[in-house]
Amino acid sequence: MEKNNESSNEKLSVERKIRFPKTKTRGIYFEIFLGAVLLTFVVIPLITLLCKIDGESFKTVFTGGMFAKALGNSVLTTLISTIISVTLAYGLAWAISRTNIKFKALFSILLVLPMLIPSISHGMGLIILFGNNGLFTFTGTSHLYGYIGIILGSILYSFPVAFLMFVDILKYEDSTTYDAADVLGISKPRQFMCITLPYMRKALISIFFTVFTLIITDYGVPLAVGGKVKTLPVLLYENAVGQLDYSAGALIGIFLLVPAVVAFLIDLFNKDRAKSTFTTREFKPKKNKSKEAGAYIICLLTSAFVLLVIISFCLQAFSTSYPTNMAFTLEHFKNTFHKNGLTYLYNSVIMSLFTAFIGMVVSFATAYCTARLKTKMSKILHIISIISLSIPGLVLGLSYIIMFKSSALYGTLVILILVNVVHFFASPYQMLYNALFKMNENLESVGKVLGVCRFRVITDCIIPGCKDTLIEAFSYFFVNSMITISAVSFLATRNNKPLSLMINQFEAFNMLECAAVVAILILAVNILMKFIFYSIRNKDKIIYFVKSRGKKNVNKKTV
Amino acid sequence: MEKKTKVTNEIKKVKKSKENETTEIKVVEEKPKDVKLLIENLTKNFVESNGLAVDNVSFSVFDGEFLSILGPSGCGKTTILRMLIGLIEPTSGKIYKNGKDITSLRISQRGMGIVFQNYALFENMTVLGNVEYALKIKKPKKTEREKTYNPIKLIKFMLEDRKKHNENTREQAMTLLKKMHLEQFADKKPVDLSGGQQQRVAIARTLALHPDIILFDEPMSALDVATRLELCAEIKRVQKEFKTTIIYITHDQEEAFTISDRIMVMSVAKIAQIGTPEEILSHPENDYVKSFVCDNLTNKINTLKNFVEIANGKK
Repeated sequence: MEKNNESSNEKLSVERKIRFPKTKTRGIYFEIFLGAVLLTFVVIPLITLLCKIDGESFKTVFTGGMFAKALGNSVLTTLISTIISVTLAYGLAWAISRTNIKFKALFSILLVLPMLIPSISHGMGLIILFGNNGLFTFTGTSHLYGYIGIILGSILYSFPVAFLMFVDILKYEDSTTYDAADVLGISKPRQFMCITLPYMRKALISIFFTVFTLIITDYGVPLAVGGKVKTLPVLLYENAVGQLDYSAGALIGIFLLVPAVVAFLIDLFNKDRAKSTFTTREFKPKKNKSKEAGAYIICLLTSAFVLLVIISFCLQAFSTSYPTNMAFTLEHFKNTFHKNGLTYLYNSVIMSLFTAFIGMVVSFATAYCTARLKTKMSKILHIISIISLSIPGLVLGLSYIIMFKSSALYGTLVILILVNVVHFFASPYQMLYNALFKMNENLESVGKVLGVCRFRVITDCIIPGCKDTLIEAFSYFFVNSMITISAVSFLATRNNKPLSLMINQFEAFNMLECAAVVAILILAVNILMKFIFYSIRNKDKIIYFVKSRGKKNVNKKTV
Repeated sequence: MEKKTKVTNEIKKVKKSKENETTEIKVVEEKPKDVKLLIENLTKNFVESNGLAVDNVSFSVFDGEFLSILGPSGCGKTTILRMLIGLIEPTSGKIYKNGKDITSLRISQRGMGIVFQNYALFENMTVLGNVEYALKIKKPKKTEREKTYNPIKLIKFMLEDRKKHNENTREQAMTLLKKMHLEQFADKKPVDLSGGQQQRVAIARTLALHPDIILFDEPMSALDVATRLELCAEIKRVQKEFKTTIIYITHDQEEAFTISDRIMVMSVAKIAQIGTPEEILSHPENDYVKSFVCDNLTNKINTLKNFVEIANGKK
């Protein structure tokens, strides 16, 4: 017996033994590494920013009443814009998902176009349309500059975000509750108050704060059309970029951080938003002419306004001297390229591509750790990962310039890529986290049983399984890096300037034609990339469509 | 009288022959079986959740046996299964397979397969892709060939080997799919199949590596009654055809009593009773087994009887 035991023990020593503790700790080490990287680039810059604030900055900011005025202006314009933007977005989402109108796909594309251009260009578009020499300014004097301009521009810039969020939520609402209400004879307004609003309550709060944060932290629109009305981000921009007073900028940045942190906390504790766990029956809108007429009006008017802004860029960019000489010209494009436009376009595209790729890889790796490894570190890593959601771009940019000003990274594309990855990290991370979390939890276990290593399971099964979300994450990083003017405005020098910042420059020198050219270029690149992403995601559908078309043509010929 | 004596003699003969048969059967049953899996004092204590999931459990599984582990949710059934296959590290205790200690052996070296409740199929692959994946990923066998240091020739040989290997694995996978009556779905994605069909694909994938023990983790929980019956028969057929030992986890008494050779009833973290279905039904060892298994089953049977009587118009 003993001999038998010895021989079996010898055999065992040849076989590779499982090392339970090591496989577990390997995951934890990787998570600690990722957590340390995120801490270095998210939390430490913020701490540096806080350390920068001194007594002098308090004096500079709070004396003279400038700050109080800017704060008041910010809160007032943001509140009004948010209310209008959220209401408009709900109306549009309702029209798209609850009525039988035609051209829904076209409307959906047109309505999200404002997301593909920098916020400052919305302000610029408004100037072209309603400014002193505007297309629709018939009296000679414009009332655009100031509160009206800021509110209009902010609505234009923020409603697509709320629209997409509402569409997503309305998609998951159960229709049977409304059927039951119809049977019980409950009126439509009461149905809205008793069913829709309670269902949407949490989501509505979340959307409201997201839009509020988006508007209050944006400096593009107020800089373009604010006139004498200054908001907090403009004050920060002027202090930090104009006067290079970083400590005053840091103090204002803290105030901008407050609504963002509130929004972040609400979002964190508001996880079970309106999506019901199961949808018993999807909505199939019934025919209702008055409803459809209303839906057409709201969709057509909003789309027309969005298109009008884009057309205004084209008018400005392609006419010799708008509005006096409308003859076609490419002179403004030449002018823009002459002022290093092509180099900056190249910078932008390279920066966005690298941001998108690195951002996608890092957010996937982090989401994989938190969603599928589930070690002790996962929760901490998850919290660190979504913290970046609460940091406005301006504050992040300011903290980066304080931290990296004297480093070799400053003035290179690397720092822009880094700041963009951190700035836009949270949303793609959450998308990927949800996708990976929903995947079958036993895939890795099956891999182990089949003798397939974890890396192969990830490359062969997990990545193909969340391919669409990865493309979406890449697209999100790319488009946002192309249009961002917040964080990068502090870190850009002549060598690494992205194209979007040229709008600020041209706008400051009142060269609206060249600014319009830049907006068109950014829009064109983003539309092209969106088309490429769409084609990759729907490759099978496109191949099927082309093949079926080919067959039809052959049939026609034979007939 | 003669007739009577003849009849009584015949009856005696029949009785004798029956007795002989029963004694023969008894002899067959009493033959000592090979112990395939021996579990000794297996314990799992989850420190994070501060709970003893499995407490000093010992049992054995015989070669070719169908053992069901029956118990309510959270009693530690799945934890035992995961420890057996190596997905969870036991706090203490030993697992022997064919007399060899496999407690610390790598999962892929244990010669076991597992079928999960939620199928865990690779959604991006076809049915055939799922079954051949594990085979395909292994290194291809080197064929006999001339010795060469020419890198182009070497690459050519490697590619040839890979091609042959892929062809072989495809053939093996197709044979398996045919055996599981799934050949017509070979090119389909798992999403296009029904729950029962997906579970059969999962079984085929497990069988691809020829495990001598297959573990089933509540494989029918997500299926409807008709599909459950079908799959039950399928699993039994697989057991006979592939001569495998099966450990089957379920919380459904009927399921366990219809397909198992032996049943291990579990209370919280411990074994309440282990025996054949007849033994457990006729001699429940404690009140827990009586209430969890026997009373539940008799209740179900009574309800069924009531239904039948109502249907026949007797009530």
